[in-house]
Order: sequence, then structure tokens, then C-alpha cells
Amino acid sequence: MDADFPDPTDWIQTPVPGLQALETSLRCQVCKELFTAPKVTSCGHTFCSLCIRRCLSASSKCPTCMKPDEEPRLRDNIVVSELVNSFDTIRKSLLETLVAKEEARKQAEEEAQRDASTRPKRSSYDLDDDGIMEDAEPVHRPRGKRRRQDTTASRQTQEIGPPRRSTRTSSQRINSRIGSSQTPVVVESDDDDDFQPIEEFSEDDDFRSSSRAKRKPTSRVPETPTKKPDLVPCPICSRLKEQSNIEVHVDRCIDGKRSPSPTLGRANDASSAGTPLKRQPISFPNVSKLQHRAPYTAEEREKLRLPKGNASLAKEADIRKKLREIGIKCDVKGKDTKQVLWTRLQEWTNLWNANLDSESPKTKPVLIKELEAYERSQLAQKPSVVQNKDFEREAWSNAHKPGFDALIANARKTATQKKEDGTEAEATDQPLDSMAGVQAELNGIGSPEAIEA
Amino acid sequence: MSTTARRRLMRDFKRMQTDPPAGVSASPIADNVMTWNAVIIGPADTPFEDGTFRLVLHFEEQYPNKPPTVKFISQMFHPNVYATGELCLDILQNRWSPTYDVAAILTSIQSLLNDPNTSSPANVEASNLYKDNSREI
Repeated sequence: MDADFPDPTDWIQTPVPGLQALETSLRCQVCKELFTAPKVTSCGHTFCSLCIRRCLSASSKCPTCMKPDEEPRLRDNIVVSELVNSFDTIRKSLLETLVAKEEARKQAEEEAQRDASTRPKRSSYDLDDDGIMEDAEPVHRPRGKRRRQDTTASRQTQEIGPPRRSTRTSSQRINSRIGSSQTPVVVESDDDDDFQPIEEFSEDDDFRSSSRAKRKPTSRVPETPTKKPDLVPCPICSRLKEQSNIEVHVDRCIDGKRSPSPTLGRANDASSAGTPLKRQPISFPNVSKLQHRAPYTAEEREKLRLPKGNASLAKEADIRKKLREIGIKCDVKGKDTKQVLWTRLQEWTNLWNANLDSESPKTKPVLIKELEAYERSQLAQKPSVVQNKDFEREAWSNAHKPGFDALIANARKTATQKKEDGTEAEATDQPLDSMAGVQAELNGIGSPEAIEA
Repeated sequence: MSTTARRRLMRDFKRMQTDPPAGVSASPIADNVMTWNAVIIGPADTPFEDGTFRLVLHFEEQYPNKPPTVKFISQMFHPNVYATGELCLDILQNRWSPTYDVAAILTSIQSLLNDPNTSSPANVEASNLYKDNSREI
């Protein structure tokens, strides 16, 4: 069981019990497992992607602070994801090392006590104990270290992966947009200071064709103008202006003295300020162009989060159609009600969206199987006798007497332990026989010392 | 078959074994992890002091998104416990949160013994008695 359910309480027995708090923070408070695809709510609490999606579809509240929240507001918690990964890889070896250390320490203590009582000479034993300690460490340490390095390496590759891809697509998108707007100056600047790999093959001819005409060869330092700290975008026309001039510029923008055309404006800026403008404006003033984004490719569509929809607005036929399109069975055992279909679609949406957040996404058929298994487990449960109106408490109590007796013993033990403020209660080790003593003690009649005496 | 609810309950069980809260104890019955027996020791300085109170908890597959059914097996004379043993406790109804586990439920019930809620009494006689007595104190 210990192997199956690693728990923060495992650290209590080690020399560093404070690790319990660390591990508790790395676990989702809903499923109590280490975070899977951690998501942070708008109130700042973190949960597994699937856990929080299920919670929010049930109640639209943060499970920890009960503040209202919605799924679209969830954000990735990347640093927690990295923490969990690195903690997970070192956990086992760390626990083993610490437990071994604690055991060695206890053993050493015992032997030292035994020696002190039997013979005064104990130098040879001391050496022995040290030997154990030193042995235990080199066995575990390199393992932990190597694993940690592995994770940092894999993490780095992960980190490099997505941003590079996104940069390329965004630059491609900009390129295509610019291509239609016929502004060669912007194309040149975009290639120059954007993503490196593009520069690798486009540098030579681009540079020769467009920049030679305008720039002196000595000024070929593509990054400097964008890195100038005092260039700020104008809030009205979005052109980059020097900070010292921005107020004058904004006034002129408001007065409408400048033409609103970005191309013309940029050409003017570049010539008047004498600095070649390198960067795209933060946002295009021409909104109509933004609205025409390229349609999603099939691959992109596979990565879109599904919307939740609204139960009361959705029609039964539409839900049925949606489920069929996905490939989920309807009406296997007779006709499903709208409520059943809706729940199924919601659970599918949760599974699907959470799967997209996962580092190792599963395929669609696997997800559909998971959905079916989930639904089967929900339907398979029978109402328990405990929930019956005429539940026989007496009979239950008698039927489970041995179980309850053991529980009473345990509960008494923990209650007494707390009372004695951490000191071990010897009397409670034989719970039932010594019950009278414990009771007396609980009532404040006898002190622990009196019982021991 | 290991479902989310069952896995979570096994976790709760481990937690109850390795680090139980003071004065409470619980474990699943022999053949069913979805039904638990529990014991709460009456908190000090209450009329329940030193008593042992038996409970039964039943979880559904929707746990932890749905609260368990909790009943006292022992006869209780408490403002928030019905004659049937059912409890009137907000966190087991509308204030339930999926972050609660067995340990949290039992410590909440333990503090309910300490601190009854007389604004929504399940047992009016007990509630009135409690109110009168606390006024005297």
C-alpha cells in the first residue's frame, strides 16, 4: 500500500519532517495526488486540470476559497508543473536515503546506550556506525543527482519546444498579413529582428536587396533600435516614439494633425527622427484586417479547447448530434434522457480539455474508453443500506463490533497522545485492558506519572 | 476496479493511519472501501467528554465532488443531530468542498460536539437546553 499511495505523511518518520508541508503543497487538494497539468484559478489556487474542470462544471466555485470562477479563466501553472516533475523524480531516493539515515541513527543510539550500560569501551562500534552512514549516502546520492539533471535537461527541451514554434507561426502570420498590405519596409524589419532561424537563410539576400539602399554598412546592428529602452508605443496610433517626444506626439495625434495611415506615418517617422524603425506596432490600427485570421487547419482544430455550452439552451437533438460526431455512443441501453446526454458531453469536454493540458496527451479512442469506464463506474453503484430510511443502527453496531472496538482503541490512543503533549503513552499500548487508567487520566484524576508509578 | 473515488478513499485511509487527528479514528469496512466506520472521542469540557461516539460514512463514486452520507450509530442528544442519527452540518450539505477528506469531516463533527449550531436545530429539545445552559454560564 505504501508503494501505491505515496503520501506527505511519509516524511514524518524521517529526520526532515518539514518535507511533509512541501509535499502537501505539491499535491492537488481535490484528488490529493501530485499535480497533473496544474492549473491556477483566478483566485490563485492550483489544482489538476481535470479536477478543477470537474469541480467548476459541478459548482462554478473554487474548491478551496469558494470564490466564483469559470473554466476559461484557468491558466497554466508552469512553475508548479516543473516543481512536481523534479520532486517526483527525486522523491523515492530522497525518502529512502532519509529513512536509512534515521534508521542508522536510531541503531547507533541504541548501540551506544547498550554499550554505555555494558562496557565503557565503544570506539570500534562508533567506527562501525559511521561506516553505515557513509555507505548509505553514496549509494543513493548519485542516483538522485543524475535524475535531477535528466529532468532539467528534459525540461529545457520542453521549454524550448513550444515558444519556438509559436514564434515561427506568429511571424508567418505577420508575414502573410504584411504581404497583403504592401509595405516592403515592414517586411524587411520583421525579418531582421524576429526569429533567428529565418534570419539564417534570409539574412544575405534580404540585407542586400532592401537594407543596402537605405542603411550605411556600419549601421548594420539589427537589434539595437528595438532594444533602445526609451522607445514607447503611442497609445493612439501605436507607433514607436522616443519617450521624450511622446507627449508632443500624442498631442499631435489627438489633434489629428498626422494622417492616420500607419505606412505613411512610419515613413515620416523614420525620416524625421533619423532612426530606422525596426518593430511592428504593438497593435494594428486597422481592425478590419485583424478579423480575417486564417481558418484553423485540421491539426490546429484538434488542439482547440471545447466550449462548455449551456444546459438549458442546448437542445437534446443537438447534444446527440455532437456526441455522435465525436464518436461517443448514445442510447446503448434504451433511450438516454437529455440529462444523461448532457452529463456525458460535459464529462467529455472535461476529459478532452484536460487532456490537451497534459504533457503526454492520450489519443481520442483512449479518451472515449475512459469516458465509458467513468460512466459505468458512476452507474454501477447501488444505494447502500446506510442511506436507507430504516437503517438499523443497533444491528450495524453489533455487526461491526470488532471493527468499532479497534477504532475506539485507536481514537483513545491519539486523544491521549495529544493530551500528554507528544510523550508516549505506555498505558494505551494495551488499549482495552488499561481503559480504566486512561479514562481516569482523561478526567484529570491521575497524571501520567501516577499511572507509570 | 480502481476509480477516482476509490483511489482517493484509499489515500484518505492511509492518511488516517499515518497521521490521524487527535481523538478520531476511521477505517473502511472489510469488503467495501465505499463504506467506513468511524469513532469520535467526546472533546474535553463538553457534555460529551470522554464518550465514544460511533458513526458510519457512505461514499459514492462522485466523491470527492459529492459529500458522503454520515450517520451517528450511537444515540446522540445534540442540537444538530436528528433522532435517526443524521447530522445537520453545513459542510456535509451546501458548504461541501471537494478538498475535504475523511480526516477533515471527522474533525468538523468533533468540533460540532464542542460548538453546536443552535440557529438550525435538528433536535429542538437539545437546542433549547443548550441555549438555556450556556446563558447560565
